[in-house]
Amino acid sequence: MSWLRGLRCRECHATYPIDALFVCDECFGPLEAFYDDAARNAHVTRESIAQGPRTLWRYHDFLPSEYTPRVDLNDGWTPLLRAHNLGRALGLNNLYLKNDTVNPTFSFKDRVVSVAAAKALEFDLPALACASTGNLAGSVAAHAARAGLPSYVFIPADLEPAKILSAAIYGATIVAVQGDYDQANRLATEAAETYGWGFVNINLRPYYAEGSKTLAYEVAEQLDWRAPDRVIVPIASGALYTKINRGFEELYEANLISGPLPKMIGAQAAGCAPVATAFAHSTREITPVKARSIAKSLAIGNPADGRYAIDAARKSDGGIFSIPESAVAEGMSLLARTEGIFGETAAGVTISVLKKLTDARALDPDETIVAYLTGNGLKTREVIENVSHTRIDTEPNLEAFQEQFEPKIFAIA
Amino acid sequence: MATKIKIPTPLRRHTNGLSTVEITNGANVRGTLNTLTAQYPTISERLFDAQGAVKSHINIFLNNEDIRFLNGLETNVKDGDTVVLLPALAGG
Repeated sequence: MSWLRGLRCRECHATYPIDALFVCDECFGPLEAFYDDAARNAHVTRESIAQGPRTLWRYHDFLPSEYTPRVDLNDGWTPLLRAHNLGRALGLNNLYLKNDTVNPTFSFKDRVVSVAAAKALEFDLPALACASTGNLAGSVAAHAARAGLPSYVFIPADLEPAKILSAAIYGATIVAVQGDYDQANRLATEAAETYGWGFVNINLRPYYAEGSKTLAYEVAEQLDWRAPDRVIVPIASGALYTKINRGFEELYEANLISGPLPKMIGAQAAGCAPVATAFAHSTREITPVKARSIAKSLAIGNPADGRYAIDAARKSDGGIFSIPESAVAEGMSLLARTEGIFGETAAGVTISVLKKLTDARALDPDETIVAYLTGNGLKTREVIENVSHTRIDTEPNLEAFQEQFEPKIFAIA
Repeated sequence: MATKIKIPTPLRRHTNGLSTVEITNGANVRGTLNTLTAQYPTISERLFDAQGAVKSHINIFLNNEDIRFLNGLETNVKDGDTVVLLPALAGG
């Protein structure tokens, strides 16, 4: 059974029934799922979780839907890797990487979409839809295909071609909006009112957002039921960051981990850093910006959960920081060369913010730190096409190879 | 002059169910919304806080642009413009 009891306004706390709703009628605030926490916490144990599937659905007691195999593409339960090489490069002795680049559609969005798709089936909605910076579009299209539903994805027309392809292949109808993400999102919000589709990040948003909490649950379980000292998370709308924070809180409330809870570090790129800017100015009021970042998966100029991200940063003694646009590709390259993981631009932002903090000696070298890598670099390869590398052009015989190779290597040595 | 205001679902119970309201006198966004709230008084406290500022969870667009990138509530409106009220949402 699900422990979900209803939806509640985050601002005025008015409650609503379990339905495809997302906005409070009273104050326009966002609605959130709420549960029978006491009953759930009395029921759930580390052992009961371990008996679940090796997907994010092992945490169904904390999710707003029952395990729904019809939508599960084996989402979640991704590796947590000890990062010795990157740690050495940054002067950190206990650095881990949560590698969500290996989800079924290569980003963390499979977590939220899996939950939203389950809910769409429960509500008997005729189609799945979304507004997307790319990763979400692919995930929605794939889960709709698996669930046997049509899908409609609203994307900015200038999105990376690989991201468009990775939704189109699953049969999605691509709505290419002449504008930026915020404008695509606005159109989708109007369309959600007009059509009866399940827009995962609009009218299914209260359920969808809950899927991100599994990134906290998995890390704690993979650390043998321990909270890391610090986590670092990329920020677009702020929803992922706040839900990872909430996930650790829930484990603590359920006595599955002990405190203290992780310090929450958020990462943005300078071309779209409204949350980092607000944090730096000690305000929770976010001033929207026109997004101009190569990290397109983070390019949300009007982040709806920004204020809640700032609350979580302050409460956890963390912070939200930005790095220059030039550091995005540097971070991707550093990650790939030290740890063998090709993360997308958001991963570059995350690693570069971590480096910024270690360069400033702002971190204890011995604390346990987890960096979240939320998407795969093959979808954003445009930004690293000029990556420096050693190349040897040769005819197909050993002498020719040696003639080309040895001077280069000796020159390097 | 006539300006269209698009009303989102959660606010339509304040506009007798209308999804679009036509306003004929309003030099700017503020004036247009003031005319709206004069016609449908209960919508006022849904849109504005006690200080008269737009509530933080509401986004207002003039045609396709967020008014915060224009001149806010003082942005001029002209005949045929559309003002769109929408809940703040994001997450790509």
